[in-house]
Amino acid sequence: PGQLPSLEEDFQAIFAANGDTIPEDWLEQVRAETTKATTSSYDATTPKAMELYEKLKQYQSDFYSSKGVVSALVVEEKADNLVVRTYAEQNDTANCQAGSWTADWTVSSSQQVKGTVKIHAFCHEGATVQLLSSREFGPLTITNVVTQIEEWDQEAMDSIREMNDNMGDKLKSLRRVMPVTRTKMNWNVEGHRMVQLLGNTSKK
Amino acid sequence: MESTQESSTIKAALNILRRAPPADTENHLLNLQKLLSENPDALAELNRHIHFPLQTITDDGDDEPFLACSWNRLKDDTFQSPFSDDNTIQAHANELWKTYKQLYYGNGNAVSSVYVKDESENRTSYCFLLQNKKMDVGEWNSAHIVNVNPNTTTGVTTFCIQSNIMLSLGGDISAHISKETTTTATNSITAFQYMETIGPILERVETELRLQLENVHLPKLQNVIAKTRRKNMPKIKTIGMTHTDMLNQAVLARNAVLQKKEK
Repeated sequence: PGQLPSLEEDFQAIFAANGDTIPEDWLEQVRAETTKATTSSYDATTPKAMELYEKLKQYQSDFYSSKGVVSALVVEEKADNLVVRTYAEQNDTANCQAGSWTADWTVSSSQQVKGTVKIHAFCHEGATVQLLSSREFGPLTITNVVTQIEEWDQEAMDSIREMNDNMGDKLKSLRRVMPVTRTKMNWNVEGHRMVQLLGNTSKK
Repeated sequence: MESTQESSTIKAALNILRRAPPADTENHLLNLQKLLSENPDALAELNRHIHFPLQTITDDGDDEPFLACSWNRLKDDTFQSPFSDDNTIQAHANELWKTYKQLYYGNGNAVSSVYVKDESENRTSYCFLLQNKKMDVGEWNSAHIVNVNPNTTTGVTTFCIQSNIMLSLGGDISAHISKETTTTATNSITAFQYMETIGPILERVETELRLQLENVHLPKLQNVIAKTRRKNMPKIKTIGMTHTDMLNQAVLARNAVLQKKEK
């Protein structure tokens, strides 16, 4: 989130190197998709959709209304199912950080719910780090849709926390901070050859 | 003018790659190369800046696998092996880099390779590559480009080192960090002794960047998500806060009385 203006400038520079400009219709499509992500809407012709919209609006207000967070909610009826998208993004340009939380749910007429939660975090100060996580939930037949969505969102949140807790161990298994010998490497090749020679001699 | 435009094009391409998930670098690089296909100079310059992804190659004639990147790509799109050359300085560097690999990355899946190029009569370039892949854990890739430039006038040899690390953890997290370092030594050291200067710097820089990723940059991701999704808690007044309020009101009331008396 929030990277589109900078990306536009960069793509403009690349197209200019070929004496060209970015196709305007493609740019408009990208801008429209970005705007759509942060626009709320609901199917006003369906009482079920309106009711779910109001409940989810309260849920978003409880969890996705911190300072600097922009949220959006879409509830539509498609072929007897209610299709829901909850979206929240946080763009902290000053600290070179941005994040988004997107959840897509389908609620059938028999109250069976399933969906996907996609979590995206991006930081680019001093290093570029990204988290892109996607988790699927359901299908499950429930009575309270909003409570179940809250539970699954929390499960996704807990898995991110667990990933963060295990990060140190994973990094250690890829590259140690210090060698097992607890001493730094001796970069004199003659020294290593001597050790190897002594080792081979002692084995004999 | 042309080189200014070229450098702004490369800067723009690197900015785009920096914003993309590092795990998708190869895909985005291919697409950027297509966009720049009519500009061979810009394309060549872009390829010089990109060292990842590293490929592991096993040649029939070699005992060990080696790593490949744009640095050791040959004209027929094959890759030069670090073992096939008669270059004794390259062999010496590979021997030391392998020992370093064993100390810090273990004897498992890690692969190391060093390539040495004579750029001109005096100048030499080194490319140090390291990769460690572990299933269910992730992947560590490092690429260090070292330019060695002896100056016969000053009697000083300058080592310019560009270090890049690309890391992926658990399939969901990816990171890219880089650092430039410069150091000098007297011209009295021989090419065989260069590793005694270069090696400790690479060791220090890799450890430093690894710790920065672990302690500074990767934890930021958790903070970003925690800021995006956070339950709003109702404000609960503690006993201490209530007492503070009462004291404040008492002081304000006394001040109001005193001001009235003065008038």
